Amino acid sequence: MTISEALYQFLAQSQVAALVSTRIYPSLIDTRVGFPAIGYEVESDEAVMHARGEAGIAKASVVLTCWGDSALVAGQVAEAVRQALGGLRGNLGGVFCNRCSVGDFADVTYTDPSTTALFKAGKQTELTIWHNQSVPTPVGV
Amino acid sequence: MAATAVDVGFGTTITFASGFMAKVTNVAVSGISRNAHDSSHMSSTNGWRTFVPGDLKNPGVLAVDLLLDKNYAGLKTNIASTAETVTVTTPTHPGGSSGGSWAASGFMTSFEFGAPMDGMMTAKASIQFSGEPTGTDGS
Repeated sequence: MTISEALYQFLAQSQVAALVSTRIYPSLIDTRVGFPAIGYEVESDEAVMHARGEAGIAKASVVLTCWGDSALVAGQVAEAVRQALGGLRGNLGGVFCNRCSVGDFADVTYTDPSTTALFKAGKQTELTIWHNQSVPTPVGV
Repeated sequence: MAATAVDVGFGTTITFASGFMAKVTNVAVSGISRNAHDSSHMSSTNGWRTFVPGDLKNPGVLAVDLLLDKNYAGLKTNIASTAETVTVTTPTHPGGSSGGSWAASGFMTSFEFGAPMDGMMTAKASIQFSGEPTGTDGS
């Protein structure tokens, strides 16, 4: 299971789902479905190595944005995300999370290119997730 | 395709007569040296200092960086143990059949570890080599 899948599974079953339902999107957001919503992108997921192979732990950096029709709603989703993930150690949607930190939330906005009347407010943060992963057998070592 | 004789360190192992050092992230052997005795005198040619090599060679020190695991009991044993054969084996080169190795009697002189909040728990160990080492070429 990838960290992206695990994060989706976790958020979909957390208190965040009470606000966004299933509108949790890895990468692109479907703006037709409605808001509030969460979009996220895994920017890196680097395995820790030692001299004989992978150590079974990796560090993922995830940019996550909470979107809403207003800054108030986006902020409520952001707070729910922080409550769910900040300092988490344990099961993250089927993957063991060694530690999850939630960075500062910054304001972002989205304007529909087809009309300047439609805009969305967002709160964006970066998650740092240390997590366990399966260890492949090194070849030729 | 011709194999190259240079390589990265991935695959390097450190073995002790009593066991195997796991999850090594860096190996550095340093301090293999001998003294240079100044043999300069007032009529040294063109004023250049001259030296003669010392007879005593220092076998050096092995510094190892590790990922720390949960097995702490062995640490106390290691720092109190007598010297044993320590072998550093580098990876088999592409197309080769065995890695080179450097072996000598050695004993641990220091050990430290840390547990940062946002980072891997790591450890460092220093092993003092003692006596004549054995260098074996890879093939």
